[in-house]
Amino acid sequence: METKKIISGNFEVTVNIKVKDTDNTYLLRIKNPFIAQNFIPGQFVMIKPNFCCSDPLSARPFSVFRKFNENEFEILYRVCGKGTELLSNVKKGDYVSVTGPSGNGFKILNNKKSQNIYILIAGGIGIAPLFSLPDFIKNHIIKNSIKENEENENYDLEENNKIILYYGSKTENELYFRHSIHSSYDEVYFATDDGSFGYKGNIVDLLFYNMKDYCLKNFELKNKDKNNEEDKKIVFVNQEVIKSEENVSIKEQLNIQFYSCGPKPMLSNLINKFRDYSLDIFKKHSLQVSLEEHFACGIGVCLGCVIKINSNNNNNSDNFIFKRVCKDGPVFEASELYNY
Amino acid sequence: MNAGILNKNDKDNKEEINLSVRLGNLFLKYPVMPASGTFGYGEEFFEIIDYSLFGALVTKGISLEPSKGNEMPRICETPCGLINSIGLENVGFERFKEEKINFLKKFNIPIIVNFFGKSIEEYSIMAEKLSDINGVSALEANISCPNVKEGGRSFGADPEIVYEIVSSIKNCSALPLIVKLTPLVTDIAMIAEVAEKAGADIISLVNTFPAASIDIDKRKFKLSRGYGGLSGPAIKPIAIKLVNDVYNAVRIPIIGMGGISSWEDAVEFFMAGATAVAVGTGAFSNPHLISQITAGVKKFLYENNFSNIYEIIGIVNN
Repeated sequence: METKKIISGNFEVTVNIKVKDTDNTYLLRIKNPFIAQNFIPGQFVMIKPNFCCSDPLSARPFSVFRKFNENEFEILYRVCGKGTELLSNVKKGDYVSVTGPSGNGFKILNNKKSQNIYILIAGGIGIAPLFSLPDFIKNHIIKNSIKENEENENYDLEENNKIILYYGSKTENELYFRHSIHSSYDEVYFATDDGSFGYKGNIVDLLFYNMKDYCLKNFELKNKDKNNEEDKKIVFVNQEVIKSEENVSIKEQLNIQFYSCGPKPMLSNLINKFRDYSLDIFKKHSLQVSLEEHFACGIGVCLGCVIKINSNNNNNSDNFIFKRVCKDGPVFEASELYNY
Repeated sequence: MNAGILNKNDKDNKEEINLSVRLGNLFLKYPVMPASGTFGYGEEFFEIIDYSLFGALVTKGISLEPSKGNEMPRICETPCGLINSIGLENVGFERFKEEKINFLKKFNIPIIVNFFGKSIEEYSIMAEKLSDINGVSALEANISCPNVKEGGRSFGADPEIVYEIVSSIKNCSALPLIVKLTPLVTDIAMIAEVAEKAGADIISLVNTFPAASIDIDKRKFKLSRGYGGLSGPAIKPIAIKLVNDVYNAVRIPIIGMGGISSWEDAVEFFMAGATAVAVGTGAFSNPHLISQITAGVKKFLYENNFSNIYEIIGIVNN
């Protein structure tokens, strides 16, 4: 029998508790070594608590939140409908139907010759697929470094790899684990719409306010006089630099990866700002977003969860093709998304 | 250890139960298969399960040209049901032949290719082209799609057109032909009889039921096209009745489907007159369903002292 990539069966719930200080957010722990050991951050599982019953009919998708130990993994979910309501009533020791790990997950692109900055941007419950990314990144870097140890004796892991979190929500108690999350990151920035925790306002605005400290700071030398001006000018500076050959080497030295998950308005805002600031011109500065859709099958056969992707094919009368969020995603490169 | 030995004997006896069926010239080891459009081209499910207890592999409906499908949203859930409006998205004949069929061939399980056309001519062209592909075991003509020339009315709702499509397909293909009926007709038994007269080897039913759902806050249909096709347990009792209607009207075998989500459901379809069953929406939330049905039906036959599946087919009318 061939080994399967995805497991499906009824597995035991070992914990299902409401997260402290929240009204409707739960942490669910499920016993399954295969998923715990093999998932990639950004992948999801389909869960159906009422596996003998037809209403609600379909299983629901949930990002794998983290590996708890070799035998158990966790999901973080907010009660928002019939399916999650039912799930919140599941007791320790009950069995739920689980299929996963499914979907593609985030890709780590690190470059040993340059400085790597990983910037995670989460909105509310959108922290779920991003939560285990720092550990995943660190393991990835360490694995790669061991592989090429001889060449890179002088390579400083700590110095050359920074992981930064931007975490926003409507209000304080939707910033899950806000008091403990720092331990996984080099820097953490919070924002809430009502100002109850961190910066008052939009997390995407906060990110772009700081952006010149990341990808744009290397351009300060050439455009020193313009540096202190409004954000608007950064666009100008940025595009100027792209055209300038002498800065090519600077671009080569800096590898910034952005990863995001959150409500659709936040993601749209983020993606559009990336376009406005021409950050997608830097091919190395990729922005990966994890999207949410209603799934029926969750395995790629029903074609119910498609989204539009830019088409490279000139013969195509439309400018887009459909891709399945559940199978081709849920993580997509922002520059691929058509009119998101 | 004794318990183990008993179980083994029990299993050996159960193995003598014969589940194989003959659908025209199509021989199936097991009378259970996926329903077209819920199984892709076989690649995705194989990442989760094995196909060893599948009677056949059934492809997504294929058309001459690739079809992009409908705008989103394409699916919504209703109590015990799922409404879909995918728009027959598929890779088209050429890509199916070049990229998709080879994967299906490696299992040594009969391959049923579902197809449709925009016109009667296109049905025959497709039938001819598909028959030339090595490895295709049977064709399933989906006659539920809209006939553009006739103002979008379903091909399958008009007995004259059903006769014409079926007979012209039979003229250009020697493969066993399954005709998949739409349930949205006044008298499904009559349509089935017409298909039989025109040369259909097998009837499959039912396709999904036209249905709609409305978001009262947005004051809009939930699906982009307004309506879609309803599947899932909600339609099972209607499907059982229609299968029985057709069973009493034709002599050719029937593949029954519509909301099957357990082996007990499958047994109902056999008793209503189906010679084989297909599973669609039910396998979305339980990928093991087809294998479980094959095992469950076998156990049921054994425990009720039947020796083969034919003993229960249409039993309600005996």
